[in-house]
Amino acid sequence: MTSLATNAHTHLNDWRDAELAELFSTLPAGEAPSGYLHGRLFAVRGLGALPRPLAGAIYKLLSTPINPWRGKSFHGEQGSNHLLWLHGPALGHYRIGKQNGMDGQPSLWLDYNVDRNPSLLRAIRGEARQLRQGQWLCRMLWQNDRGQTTLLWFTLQGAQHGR
Amino acid sequence: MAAEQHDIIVIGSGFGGATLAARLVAAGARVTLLERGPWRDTDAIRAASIAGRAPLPAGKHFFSHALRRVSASWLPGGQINLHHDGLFDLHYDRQLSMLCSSGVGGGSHVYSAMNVRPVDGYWNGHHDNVCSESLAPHYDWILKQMGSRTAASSSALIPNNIVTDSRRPVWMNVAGVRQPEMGFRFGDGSFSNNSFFGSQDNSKVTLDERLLLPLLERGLNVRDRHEVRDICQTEQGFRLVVMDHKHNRMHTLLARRVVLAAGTLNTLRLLFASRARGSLNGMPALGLGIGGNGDVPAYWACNESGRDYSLGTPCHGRFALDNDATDLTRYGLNGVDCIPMPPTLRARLKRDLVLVGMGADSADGIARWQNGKLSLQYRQQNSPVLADIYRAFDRISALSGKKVYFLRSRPITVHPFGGVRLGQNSASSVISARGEVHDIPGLFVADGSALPAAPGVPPSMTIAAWAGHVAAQLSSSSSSSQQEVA
Ligand SMILES: Cc1cc2nc3c(=O)[nH]c(=O)nc-3n(C[C@H](O)[C@H](O)[C@H](O)COP(=O)(O)OP(=O)(O)OC[C@H]3O[C@@H](n4cnc5c(N)ncnc54)[C@H](O)[C@@H]3O)c2cc1C
Repeated sequence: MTSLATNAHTHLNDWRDAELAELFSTLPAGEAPSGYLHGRLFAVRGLGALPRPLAGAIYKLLSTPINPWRGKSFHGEQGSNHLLWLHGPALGHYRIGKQNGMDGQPSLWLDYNVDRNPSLLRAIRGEARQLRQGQWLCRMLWQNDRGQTTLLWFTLQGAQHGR
Repeated sequence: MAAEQHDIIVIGSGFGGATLAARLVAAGARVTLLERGPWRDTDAIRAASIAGRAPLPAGKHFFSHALRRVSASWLPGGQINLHHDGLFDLHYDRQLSMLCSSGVGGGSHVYSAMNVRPVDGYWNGHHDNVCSESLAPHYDWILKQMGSRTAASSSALIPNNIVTDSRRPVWMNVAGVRQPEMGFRFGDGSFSNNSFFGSQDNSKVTLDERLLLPLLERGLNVRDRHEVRDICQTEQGFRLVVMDHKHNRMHTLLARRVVLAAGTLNTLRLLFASRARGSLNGMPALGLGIGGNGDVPAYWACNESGRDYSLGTPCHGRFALDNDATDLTRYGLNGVDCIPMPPTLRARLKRDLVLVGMGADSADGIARWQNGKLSLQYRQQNSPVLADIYRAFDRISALSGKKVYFLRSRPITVHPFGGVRLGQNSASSVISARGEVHDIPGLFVADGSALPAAPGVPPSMTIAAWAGHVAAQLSSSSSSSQQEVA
């Protein structure tokens, strides 16, 4: 059983894919973030059958330096992922737009199909919606000929909300 | 799956939540009631064929189902969750510990059924639009629902009733002491095992069977084992994160209006945690005005031979000492038969008594949220009533020659209140005369946390009366908004 925590990230880190999709469907697309945001990932595809406490513990571990991904930056219509530290090396770039997401409702759309990315990353798409002031819930998708598959979920949170 | 949209969601089904839901449904509102605990397996609930009932803590279920959670700031994560279907929540704090319950019907399962009005004028002076006169009909309503009356006014002979107890010590005065009304079915019940561990044979009237069951047919939607984890204000109302313990699944529910009635301790937790996450904002006075209603429980090892004090209603009645206005109540260990223990120990416990002193404390405690944990600041020297009760217990020890055990420097209450108190403005209070959070329209509070001062008597009727008042406000605003639409 999870306990109430003070932080948006830990609050969601033992949720399942279907639960997150239900929450996501209630969120507005909101305005695109700007600047650098801390990221935390959870609900990775394939780990959904783990008991909640175990899944929560694994995702907590993945928010330590074991996992080099620190977050994302948003600058106008472009954005990047950052490794090692929040302003660290950029890998995986995307174009930021707005379009209807997997559930048919408006999302901020992160399209990795850009020339700067290695070809493997170009099949990635991201959907983001505003969870609260300064906090976004996002889903990472894999795009192929048959459609889109959810790979994992993550939250983005501005530095001032990172309590 | 798309999230469900509700009109009014009520969180918690105790004296505040059950009363409010019942009155709203009676007024024609569509209400969903979320309760973290289960329906209890009592005669009435079984007869209604409610599925998924959980046992009361008795016999082999005692140790598994007695406690739901223990919380203390020094515990890792602030709490240990023992069993989703456990009956009690214990919050330990050096300055003020609290005990409350869990399950459909809330505190009515564990309370000793003393249904008492506070002193005249209790509601006056806290808000221009709330007064004792306007609350009076809501007290009448709930007392009628609970069938409350004094033991003396019932035709049944109640064992151990303090007024008729011929072996009562001479210094235990009952003349001129007002005896409490009680929510019991006097006459056809056994009374034993109808108190702290639940109403085993329905002699004690509980809210689940009395208020909620009859309304299921009229559309009241009760979701047991649904624990609200977060309340987030949105443009259209509120988004609730709810753990469904039955299916081990998290849900997102949307509601136009939300009424918090999770009990003082858990309403405070929910509001603090939601605000810390950024789901709610404002409420600068959140946590102010906490009190323990002057509770001091004591164990009186009187060991009276030939007595079985566990018989009869749990509360035997009130008494006073000579030249002392302290409000004292005597209880037997009603329910001791539910606890597995050696027979000699049980026989001994039945010969002992519990005493509770109570009175209006100064309601100046402060609850804080630190690193995801609730901590309480409560200075007992600010409430002289506690010292008066300690003195009275010392006198009883001396008068009887039998030891009265109590915790002199660790106040513990079963009647916590305040922290989300009613008042005129958001600087010193959290909710308005409508029961609505000053700076969060659509969010209402209808439980013990709303009380602006200590009732000084058992508070369940005062909480229910407040909930009745909030229901009336909600009903009138619903009908006026329906008229506007029409
Ligand atoms: C041993 C004992 C004896 C008592 N005797 C008396 C007495 O004789 N007379 C009297 O007047 N008072 C008595 N009381 C006090 C009385 O029980 C309380 O004052 C009263 O129940 C408080 O009402 P409430 O609505 O504020 O909260 P509760 O009645 O405690 O109801 C709150 C409900 O909300 C639920 N809840 C909590 N958190 C959540 C969540 N996150 N999501 C969903 N649901 C949630 C809880 O499970 C609970 O069912 C006694 C209390 C105890 C413990």
